[in-house]
Amino acid sequence: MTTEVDMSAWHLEPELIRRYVAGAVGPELAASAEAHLMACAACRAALASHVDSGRAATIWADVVDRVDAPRPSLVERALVRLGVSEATARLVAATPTLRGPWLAAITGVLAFAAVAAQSDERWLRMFLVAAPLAPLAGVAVAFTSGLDPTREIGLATPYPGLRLLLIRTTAVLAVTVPVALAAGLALPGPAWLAAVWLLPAAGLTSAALALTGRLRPVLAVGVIAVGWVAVTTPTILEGKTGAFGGGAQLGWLGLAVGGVLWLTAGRHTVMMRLGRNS
Amino acid sequence: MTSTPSDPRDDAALVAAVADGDRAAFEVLYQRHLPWLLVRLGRRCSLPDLVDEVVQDTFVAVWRSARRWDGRGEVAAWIWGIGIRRLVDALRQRPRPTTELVEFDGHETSAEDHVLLGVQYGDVGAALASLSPELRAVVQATVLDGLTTREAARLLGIPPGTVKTRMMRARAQLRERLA
Repeated sequence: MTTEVDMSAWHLEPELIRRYVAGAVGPELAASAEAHLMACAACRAALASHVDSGRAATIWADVVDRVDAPRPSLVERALVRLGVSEATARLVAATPTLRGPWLAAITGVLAFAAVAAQSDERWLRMFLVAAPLAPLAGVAVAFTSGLDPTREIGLATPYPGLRLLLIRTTAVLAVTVPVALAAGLALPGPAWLAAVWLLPAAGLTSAALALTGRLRPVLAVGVIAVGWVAVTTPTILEGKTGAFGGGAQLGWLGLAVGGVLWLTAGRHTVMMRLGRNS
Repeated sequence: MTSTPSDPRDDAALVAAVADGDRAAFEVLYQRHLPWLLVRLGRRCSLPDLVDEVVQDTFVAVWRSARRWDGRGEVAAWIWGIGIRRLVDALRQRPRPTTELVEFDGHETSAEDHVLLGVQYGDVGAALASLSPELRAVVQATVLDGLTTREAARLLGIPPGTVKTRMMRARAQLRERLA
């Protein structure tokens, strides 16, 4: 640093600073002034008096606002980038199912089922029973009052209950279905095995949502899940896959569509049910 | 925000404090570095609103990335590096103004005068002055502002290839003048 001595001795003249701020000096002089400003705190301080303090205060207020605002999560920022509105993105990001532990749990259960299916054909068939439960469980978790961080805000906000239900459910399905599909593709059986549970899952989810007009979401999902396991497990263990046959698939599709129609018809009661303690 | 507290800490200490979430240190840093940044960026962009936005972005970035400052060199240079890149990004996202400059109220000496001056004094500043405004803008953006070719191209609104050729020509001319 041989220039240290020179730098402390030499300073920009007040007149030059004034003209530089006003944009009245040529490029060479400006470049030399800027180079000196980078290294000289005294000249930077001398320049400060030429800058409008109102402008500085306005920018500072904006900076503080942004620094104080909580940073949106990665999921939220990604959704906003994809064109989702900020409010909806926040709603989706706050869904408990989409948080690490729950996602990990669902993935873990399905991975276990897929691994178990490698060893025994009965387990392979049981995977078909378990797979539709993953989205269902996700939906249930999304509306469990103790787990939903936005529940109290949700109760106080005049926001359509049906819309909330559908946004959350869509988000849950968008995450859990690919996980279950991936697990299905790891199965030793034929490829259709990986996809054959999709329509039953849609039907079950839709039925559970339809029931939220009558029951609390968690209870609705519980009823549907228990019913599904109770009906399919015995037949599956006997080796019959009737619940996944061609005719049954049409039935599941019908249930899915019917559930959505029922839900739309009873949309005014959804909000009340979501608001009840569970 | 009305008074300017004189903090005994130097810039490097302030950045270290900001990295630990010290809001008071951040405010002192802002007061010290906002004015020159505003003026310097203002010389590179004629839209005051955009400059304000870029400066705001820059200080938010300073707050968030203070722990990533490597502690070498001037804090001012680090802030400038963030600011000029934010400006380049902001200009890229915004359509170029289509209004032409019809009046120029400063006075620009002719190219011949520049050349004569350069020959007369033969120093770097005058050699720089002898360059045409196009070449000088490229030297300014790359050498003095520290931008990459690509960034300079965005700032000046010309293709990167043009920046390279202009830089080559500028270098050749400067070498000739300073020889």
